[in-house]
Amino acid sequence: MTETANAPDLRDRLAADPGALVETVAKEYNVTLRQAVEGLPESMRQFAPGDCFVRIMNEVANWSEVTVIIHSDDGVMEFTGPIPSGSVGRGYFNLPGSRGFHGHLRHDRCAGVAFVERPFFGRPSASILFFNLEGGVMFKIFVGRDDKRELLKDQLAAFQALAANLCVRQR
Amino acid sequence: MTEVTPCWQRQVDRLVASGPDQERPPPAATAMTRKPSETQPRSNAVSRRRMVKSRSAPASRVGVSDLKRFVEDVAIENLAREGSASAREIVESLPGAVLKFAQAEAFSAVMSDIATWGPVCILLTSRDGVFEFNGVLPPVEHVHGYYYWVGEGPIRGRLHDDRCSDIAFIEREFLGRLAASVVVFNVDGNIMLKIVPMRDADSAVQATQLKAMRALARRVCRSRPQKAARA
Repeated sequence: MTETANAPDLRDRLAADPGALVETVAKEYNVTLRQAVEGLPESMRQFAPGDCFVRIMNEVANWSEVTVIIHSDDGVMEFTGPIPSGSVGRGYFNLPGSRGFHGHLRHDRCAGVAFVERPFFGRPSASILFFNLEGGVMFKIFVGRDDKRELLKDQLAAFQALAANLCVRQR
Repeated sequence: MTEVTPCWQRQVDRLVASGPDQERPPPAATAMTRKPSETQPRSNAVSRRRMVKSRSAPASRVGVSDLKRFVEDVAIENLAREGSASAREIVESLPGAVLKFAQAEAFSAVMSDIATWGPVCILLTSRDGVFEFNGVLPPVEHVHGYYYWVGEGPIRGRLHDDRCSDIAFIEREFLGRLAASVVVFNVDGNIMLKIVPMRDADSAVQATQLKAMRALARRVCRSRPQKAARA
């Protein structure tokens, strides 16, 4: 837990508006994204240690379609589809494949993982945020939605089970 | 284009020769894990090429050439991050590269054209990894300072238009084969994203996409590469 002096204000802000974009809140309060997520109401976020990275990714590989979101200074890219299971080699978590999402991730730069369930644009949302060593977000994975934009029930159950398994609720 | 091998090339060569690999590499891939000095004269591109050709990529795994391409990409961006040169400067001095530049204003035209190519590979690199998506890019819309990729397809996104500096069309020989890519640079000289044409079963760049890429470059690029004035 990385508390900051203005944490009470930040918590009040997020308690009043828990669907706020964490990127916006982090900028407003001059805190890291991780600190902004930690400022969410306790019932909405749980944290797992960074060394759960590979375990989480290979569990999510069983979930069918999810949405992967990557933010940079330049913008945001999103991909919806299945995530392949990967393996560690040469300092990277390598996701194989020639279709959809694949790549090479620096799992050793993961300093923590948040499981977040909160309203987002008026609907329930469930996401996994992988934090890097600087308190930024490496990338996010959102639980998939059905045709009616409702969260996929089996994925949400798997998300909650995984969180219950790995997370220690922090005050 | 300078003929002198840039100082960072040796680092890239070394990285390309040594990594990364799956945890249990198939026996055919073990040559890659040896130090270059054990298998070949240092920086001998011809023997390295032969070495690459003698191996077959492991089925349904990340191919060896994919990994080497990836290592080079990462090496370039890591070097850029260390501050010795921007990714743009490094790309501009890649040995043997044919580069053409389009201005940022061509972004919508470039991306809308690529949207008609069929599946391509979109790469985003950060210090946390290389994220690759294979699929058809949706058409781009330029609204309120953003380029948006919209629609119901699997790939969506938005980029600040004022972060885009220019777009490079790159062709070069890498590991004995032609490699082609469209690279979008940001105003910091870093790579915003990269579009790589797909390869066919022989690992050659798909002919139709290569043709489309060249036609697009002819349409949107300045006639001479930016650095040509210096030569």
